[in-house]
Amino acid sequence: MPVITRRDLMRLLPASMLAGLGLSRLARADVGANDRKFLFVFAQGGWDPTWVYAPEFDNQYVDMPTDDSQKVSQNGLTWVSSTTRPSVDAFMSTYASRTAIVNGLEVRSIAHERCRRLLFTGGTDAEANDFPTRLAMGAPSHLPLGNVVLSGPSYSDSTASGVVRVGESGQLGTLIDGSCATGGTQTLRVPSSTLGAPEDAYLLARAQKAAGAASAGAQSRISQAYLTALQDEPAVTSMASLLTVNGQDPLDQMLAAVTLLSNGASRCATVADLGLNRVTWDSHSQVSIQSTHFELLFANLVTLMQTLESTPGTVGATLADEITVVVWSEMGRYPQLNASLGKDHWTTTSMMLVGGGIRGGQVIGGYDSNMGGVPVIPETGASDPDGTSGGVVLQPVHLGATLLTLAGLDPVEAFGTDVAPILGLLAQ
Amino acid sequence: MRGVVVGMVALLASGCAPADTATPSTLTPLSGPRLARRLSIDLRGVLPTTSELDEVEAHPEDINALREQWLADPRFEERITQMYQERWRTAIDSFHATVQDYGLSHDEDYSFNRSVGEEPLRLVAHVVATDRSYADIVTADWTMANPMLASLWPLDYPAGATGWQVSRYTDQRPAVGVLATNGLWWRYNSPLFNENRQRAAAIFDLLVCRDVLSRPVILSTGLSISDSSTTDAIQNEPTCLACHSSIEPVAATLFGFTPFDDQSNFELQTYHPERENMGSTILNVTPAWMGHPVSGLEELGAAIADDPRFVDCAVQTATEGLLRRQTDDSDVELLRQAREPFVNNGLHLKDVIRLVTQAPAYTVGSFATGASQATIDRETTSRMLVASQLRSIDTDLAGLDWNYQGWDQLDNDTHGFRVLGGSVDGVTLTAPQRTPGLTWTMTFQRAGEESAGLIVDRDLADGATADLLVGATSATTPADAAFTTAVSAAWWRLLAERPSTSDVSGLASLWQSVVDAGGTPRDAWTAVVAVLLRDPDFVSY
Repeated sequence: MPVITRRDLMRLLPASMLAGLGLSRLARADVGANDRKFLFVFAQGGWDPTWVYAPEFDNQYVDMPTDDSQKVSQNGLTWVSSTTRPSVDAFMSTYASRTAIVNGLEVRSIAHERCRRLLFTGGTDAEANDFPTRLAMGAPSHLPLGNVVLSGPSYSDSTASGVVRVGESGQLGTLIDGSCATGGTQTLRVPSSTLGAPEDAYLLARAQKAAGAASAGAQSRISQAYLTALQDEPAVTSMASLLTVNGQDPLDQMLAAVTLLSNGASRCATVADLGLNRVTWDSHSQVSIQSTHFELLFANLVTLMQTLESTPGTVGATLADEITVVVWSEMGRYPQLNASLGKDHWTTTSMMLVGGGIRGGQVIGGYDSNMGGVPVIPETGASDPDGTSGGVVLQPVHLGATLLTLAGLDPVEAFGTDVAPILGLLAQ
Repeated sequence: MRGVVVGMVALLASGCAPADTATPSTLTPLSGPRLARRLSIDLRGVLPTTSELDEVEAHPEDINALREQWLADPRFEERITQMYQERWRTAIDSFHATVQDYGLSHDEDYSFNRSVGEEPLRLVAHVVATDRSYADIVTADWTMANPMLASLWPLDYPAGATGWQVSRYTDQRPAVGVLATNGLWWRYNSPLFNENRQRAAAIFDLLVCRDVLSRPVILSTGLSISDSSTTDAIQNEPTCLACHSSIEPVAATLFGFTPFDDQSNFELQTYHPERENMGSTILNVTPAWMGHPVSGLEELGAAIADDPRFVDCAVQTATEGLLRRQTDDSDVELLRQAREPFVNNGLHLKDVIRLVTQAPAYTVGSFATGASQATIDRETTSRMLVASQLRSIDTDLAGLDWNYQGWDQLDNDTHGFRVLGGSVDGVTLTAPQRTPGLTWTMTFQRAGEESAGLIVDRDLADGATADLLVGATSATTPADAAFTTAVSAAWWRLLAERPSTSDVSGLASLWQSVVDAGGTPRDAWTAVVAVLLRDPDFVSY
């Protein structure tokens, strides 16, 4: 089994990156649950775990990549390595101690829209709230931007007021700075800040009065949320540039998200990755394009982690100690190639958790011979192939419960049922 | 939840009573004018006129006559289109075929996508607005088309006409209403490997409120990758059969819409009657609807129309659109009551709308003592306007046309603010937002500022014909009696409430503050109208 050496690593990584390695690990200060922040990176379209996470070379019924891919193990991680995906190797080698891979996650659908909802909320109910927004709304103090969706899906009902969608072309920023007023057939009239100030003051007073007088129920919820939104407006005005990031570039969005998370404006952010040329990860033909998708994704993740490890945290040594990066996709791919050399949909997939609060250097779960999920004992993260030791096949709701636990929130309260968090994934 | 409620309506008809029904006595209705405002927004997408408010203030019972007027209003059809968009979600921003594929300019992107996406919605709305039987939505031999669609697809759009018109496809597609529309099947498309199963799932979801996709699917327990035959598993494995025994026979009827080349406009836009029989061969099933064999798509439409679940789903869809929430078991009695005239009088959806809009669950404005917490949590005493409603209201009030390179900014997500303003986008936001957030507030702010400017320009130019600032001129100041008259009229028209003395003085102070900050009287008037267009009582209803 090949092992990547430090010499290999030196060859793969730029010097500027190596300069920061190790130094940021000197002190990983304790970060409390209330200080946790989350960045969700969503590979939209359904990735094929066999290109990175699932080295199922021994399963004759699984069509593995036909390039020079091979199984590699290092520092507790096992992955599929290839010279065509150097950034994957670089990431796994460099950040193994911060990274946990979860294999055999059962999403329970093969329809894209439903899979996304299942992945983000744990269920299919149209009134369900997604994990990012639950985490944001559960923050110990109100944050003006709550859950920032720079791109990708978001599902919320009762927590809708905590979601800030930037828009496909970053149009929220144009609302904030008023530039939405230009370019159309009609130029919008936006008052100067001087003339707008009396309006803002008047409205705030009206909203306060309405919130105070509202009867219980919907009237109260709407009034209170409106008042809060009006109060938040001034705080976000200075962030317009961050909220107008290039809607096409996931790395720009990840880095903008880091700034928003680190300056206390937000507790969660979501970024979608659509792969090479934004063609999406959905690969019903020529699944080999996923190699490039993964290489680009992991190149971005390397830069992201460089940034997190080189930026001081608020309470932790670096942002990498405070921010948990969740990297996932809505489904897996059928284990075998179809006639178009693509792979169709499959309900079982893999995901990755990196950074703050995660017990790195481990692969949790796995795939059985039929590419179903191997049961996992939530308390320890150990596999329970026979399911005789209380193991469960992992589903998104277990992930949600784990993230809520990491953030100091009660999963039972959130889901109304006793869903076991995967404590084996957590550092403490 | 939807399927559950549909089933419970049938249960109740057999004598079982639901638990936790909100008793009407705990629901206090809105005042007459505020109720008229809610009803007008729901039925016409605009605010009541001043005279309508005056009428219902003096004679609350006149709300019933107004309801009838508004059900006959031409704008009602547009509102049904919007209501169904929230449920059917076909008006998305991009389809597999694009304007570039058709050689159209980028400026026509919005018009192209909305025309495609609204086709099935417009068909439903036309059936409802013109008092046709609701069964027509799955049996009609016509569709709705506009000049854009008529220029692209095989349609006999009336010569010289404009706007949305009844039209017919000329490619021999069956008479099955929305089931024969390109718009529905472009939205719920089906990749070749999917063999129309996704489309069949959409039929169950949209027409009988049965969400088969919500059922858990775990392929590794039903499908062996060592002996993989998907078709065998679908037909033999119990875990697969639960859904696919219903889906496959419906999917088998849809192969006339299967393109052989999904890069070809002709293949995508044309019905292929010669492919109709492929479905039963490829899927190895007999076409059927819920176990009843059908000869093909045309009989499928008729079978759906005859299914009691189709009727229940129509009632549920309309009720949820009006209550602005999902129905649950506490609404079964209301759904049953609404179903009765619908079934007995020829499936006119207006009968459902009449009944629901008079129900306590619709008219509720607050709670009386004794309301249970479950009732308080559930009932929508107040509803939040969303971008689609703001668009029609501000267009009516001010002539707002917030447009960017051909895109209506309150009706798109590519450049605009539809989702940011709380409306559904059809893909990621599948239900209207119910509580305000930052992006919603800012969308309403910018739209309000622009609309205020337009209103002030119009009303101050001729106070005699003003709609809002009645009697005011550019020379009017808070010291004038005309100021009180004007702002009181605007307050009444926009909020459906009479302003108090302190309300008027608050606006006077605002007016003066703007002038003191260096603004012109016009700026001050604009500020006054802008805050009314963002008032808590304006943005909710």
